[in-house]
Amino acid sequence: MNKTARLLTILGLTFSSISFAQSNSEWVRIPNASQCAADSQTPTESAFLYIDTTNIGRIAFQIGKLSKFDPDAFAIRATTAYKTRLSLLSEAVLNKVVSGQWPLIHGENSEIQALMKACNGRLNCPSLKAKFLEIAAKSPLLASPNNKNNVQCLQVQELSADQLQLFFQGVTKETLTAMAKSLSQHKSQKSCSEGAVKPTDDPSLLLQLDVVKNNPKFEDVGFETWNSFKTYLSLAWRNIQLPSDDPAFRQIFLNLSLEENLMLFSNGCKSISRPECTSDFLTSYQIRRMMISIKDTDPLNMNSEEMRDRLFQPANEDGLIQKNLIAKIDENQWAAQFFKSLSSISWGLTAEIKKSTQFFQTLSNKKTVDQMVADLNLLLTNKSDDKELLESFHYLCGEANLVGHPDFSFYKFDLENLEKFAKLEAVSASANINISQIIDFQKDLYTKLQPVCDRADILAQKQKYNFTKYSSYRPWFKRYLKKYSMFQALLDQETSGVIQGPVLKKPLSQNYLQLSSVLRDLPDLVFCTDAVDCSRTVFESIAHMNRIALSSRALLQNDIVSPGIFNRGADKVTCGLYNPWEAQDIAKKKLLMDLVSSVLFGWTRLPIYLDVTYKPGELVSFKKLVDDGKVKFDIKMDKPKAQASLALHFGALLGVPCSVQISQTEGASENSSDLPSYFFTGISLNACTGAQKAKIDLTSSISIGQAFERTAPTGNSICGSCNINFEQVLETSAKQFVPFRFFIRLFDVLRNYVNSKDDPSFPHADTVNLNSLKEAYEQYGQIPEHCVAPLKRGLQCRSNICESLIIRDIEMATHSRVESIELRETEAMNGSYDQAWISLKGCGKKVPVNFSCSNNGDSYYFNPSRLAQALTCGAVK
Amino acid sequence: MKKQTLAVLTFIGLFSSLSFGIQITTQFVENDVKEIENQVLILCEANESEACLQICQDAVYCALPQKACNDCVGLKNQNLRTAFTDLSFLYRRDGQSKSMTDLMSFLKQSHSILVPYNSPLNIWNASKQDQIKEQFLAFCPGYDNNTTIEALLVASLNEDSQIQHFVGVICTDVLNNSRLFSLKYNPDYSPEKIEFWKQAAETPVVVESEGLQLKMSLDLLIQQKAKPAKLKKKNLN
Repeated sequence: MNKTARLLTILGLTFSSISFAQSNSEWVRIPNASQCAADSQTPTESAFLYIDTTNIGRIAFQIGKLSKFDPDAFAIRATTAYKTRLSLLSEAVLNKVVSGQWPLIHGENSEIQALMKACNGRLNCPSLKAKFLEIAAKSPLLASPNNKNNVQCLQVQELSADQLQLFFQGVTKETLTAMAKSLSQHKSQKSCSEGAVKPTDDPSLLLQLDVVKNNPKFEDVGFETWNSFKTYLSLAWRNIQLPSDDPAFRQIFLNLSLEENLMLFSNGCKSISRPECTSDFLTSYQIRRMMISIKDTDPLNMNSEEMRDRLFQPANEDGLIQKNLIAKIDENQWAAQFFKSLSSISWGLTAEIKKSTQFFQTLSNKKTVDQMVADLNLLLTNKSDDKELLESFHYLCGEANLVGHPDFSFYKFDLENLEKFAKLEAVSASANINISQIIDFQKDLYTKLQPVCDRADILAQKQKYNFTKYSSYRPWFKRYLKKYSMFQALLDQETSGVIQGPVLKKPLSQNYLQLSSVLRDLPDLVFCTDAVDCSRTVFESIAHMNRIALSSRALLQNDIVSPGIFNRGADKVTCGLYNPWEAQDIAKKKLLMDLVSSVLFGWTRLPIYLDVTYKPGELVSFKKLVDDGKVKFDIKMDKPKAQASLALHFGALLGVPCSVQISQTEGASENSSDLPSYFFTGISLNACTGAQKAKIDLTSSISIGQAFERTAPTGNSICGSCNINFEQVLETSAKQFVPFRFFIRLFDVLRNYVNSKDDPSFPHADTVNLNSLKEAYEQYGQIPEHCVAPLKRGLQCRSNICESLIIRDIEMATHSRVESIELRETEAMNGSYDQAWISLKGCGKKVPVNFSCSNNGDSYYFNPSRLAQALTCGAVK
Repeated sequence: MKKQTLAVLTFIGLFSSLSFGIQITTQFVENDVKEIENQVLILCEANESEACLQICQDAVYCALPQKACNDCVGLKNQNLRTAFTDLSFLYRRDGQSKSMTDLMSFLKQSHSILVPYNSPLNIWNASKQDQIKEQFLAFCPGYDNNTTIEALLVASLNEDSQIQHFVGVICTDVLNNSRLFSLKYNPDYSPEKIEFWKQAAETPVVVESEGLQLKMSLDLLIQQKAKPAKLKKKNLN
């Protein structure tokens, strides 16, 4: 054991947040969840690169069938060549970047950066290619024999001990046992440059890329290093040939988009890319959730509102994610699982973009908004008492409001993000329509739809129709409703088999908007069957495109995707919602903020904070808060923009007086008078949630003047209630205030708080010595419980911690192994030691060493400078 | 090499009574530098020897290497996927066949590729090749009376060598004669015109002798020539 390693041990124990390269070391640093979250803000020195060759294998197989090659053998030859080329290129490119021979791509001075911008991110852009070739000519890719001083690249066959710890949470017996088992199996990992990849039918390969060059400023340039690596790898793949390349595939490989077959992710808690609180960043961190189920946790089934909501929700599923990760450790299936989920979602997204743009292209070509509105009116005129028709209008108008309402649209902010969508237009095959035309069409339709909706509403009221069939909403709308348990329950009660379809059983026309095929046998591609159906599809398509735009940079751009698979808290830290050092306070503060803002505005989690001292029962007015300068904005948000949004969203509620009350009740029963309940003129709300389970039940459809009934909370409950004098509200915002949303928001806030679990653990990292771990495992055949504590502290596993501590210090001072040791207990106190009789390896005699250790190692003192001369016996150095 | 050429000539001679004009197909072969190359194979009959000389610098046949379609198998550009999924809804054949000059002009454009129904690049629905073939053939005038046996799509490439539009279809009839037809958007889908052929015709044809490959797979040729001329139409419903 060398001096540096020992010094690192001490530093590691003293300053747990100090990190060092995880690979190729006998020391492994294992952070706890809080430390892991905190680590996310620094760049990683080690990353995994997952390579998927499924598509190249498929293509090669087909080429084999069309030519003289055996398809199966040709496919394996292609995938092997692909993996080999990528392994070599990855190591060489990272070396170029880390050694500084290729300039980092960042900042305004970077020519490559400027060219990428000019080329709109197109990697095949001629000017970008020319610049890259110029850099590569100046410093040829393979002209650096000294890779090992800068980087290390390994082909991961099976996970090593230091990689295994990533799958566990904290240092436990389970973690240490898994690591020790791995150590005892003597796995060797092949270097990327050691030669060709073994031909195999496994479609994937996992590489570990490490920056080993000691650069004190790595924290400053780490993110740019990985970003440069990704860009240069993309450019080198397209433009540089290696002597070892299989010439057969030179052209074939270019047909595939490299970036979509790769995933680069951090080997640990630190990050590849600079964490920013953006929808793209949040999407990439949601990839971790894909380990549970794609269907339920599709991060792309969200608008930005939902994305923010998810941030606030506790990671209840975290244990399940870890469990599924561990279950797929073998054969690197854990990485494959992520990649497959990611691919299927990305492909699904592009299919949706294609479908939506084709719909709008055809629609704008065949119909005008005025025509559609006239057709809607015609339907109402012809069937003014048709319940089915009026019901379909009810759903149309509800869905339209969620997307199009200028003040309360859940997609309002998101629509601005659709600018990003412009870059994706190449994705939308053969469509000439652009995104601004699409948005204009939707806005125009929404505006002109309002009188139609009013008319339908009046007709329905005249007939006394009451529409409460939630399952008839389109899937995207239902998915939104399902966020709220009360709607989930209602939806569950209804027939689950109802799927969207033609709105009317007998549509006005079967062919309202369709395309026919040149192949007459093929049925028409029908976009919608009547005007109502078509209008609903307009809003549905906007909702779909909206969520795609939010995630587009993370999943559909040129960049290699870089999710934080091993970090559960990075997104919360990045978005300022979780301070690892102040976890407990934050939740309470958040509750206050959420409650106040929710109750006041029916709208939470916007980047607005109320700087008020909250007193239950106090009457506050939003207008007063604004006037008093108590409303503050997230510093990340542009102030004029925030103010504009504020006025837009809450303008209708300025001046609304509201009383906020929270009460903590214990053991309240259904009829208990302890439970506060609030009823007000016009409208009333009680939102309670209990320690076990509680929900708000709706006795009937929500409308002004109808009250909620509460279920009985049990155990510890929290209740929130709000009084809005509705007469006053109506005066100021008769048409714009939406009580419906107001309630579900308040309920959600309370539920989140009750469900949330503070993470009390202080950030901390343990440093385990792999030699000590291996010794303990060999000695006991397992890792016994009493070994966990010393091993966690980087010590050897001994009968007691005092023995472990003194052995560490003596070995460090003498650079020799302690062969035997005997502790002398002080007479005064059990478990307290003042002397150790030790013999060092190669030195037969036992000599005494004075130290003091008690309280299970908590009080420990040893001065190495006073180490007895006797220790330097004979061969001992 | 000479032996092989002779064999091809003899073989073509055998079939000359069945065919006339120019036949165009695609193939994957290993070239002189061991690279697997996607080639356009051009076979000319005697009555087209002049045209063939202009394209191939050979009166009988040649093989032109095709560019890779950069990043076409992926999410970034969905046009290739469209070719195999819903092209028949979005495009229509536009007018009469294009002249040989147009065809030659196209073949010399480095910014175009041919897409066969059984393209290995189809990772989306390769199992539906029969249906895809029917959809390609349906663009051809001889589809209804079963006189077209092969249809290749012509795709224009942008400056990044990615598919921009589908601009034409090359239909090969039972006599192995290939003709080119331009494509336009389905008027129900888009009123926009595809201007490719006009521009292509205006671009002077430059013969690049280096770009021509006179190597071909005899086996493949025999296989293609020996194919049954008629195909049964399938009901795709």
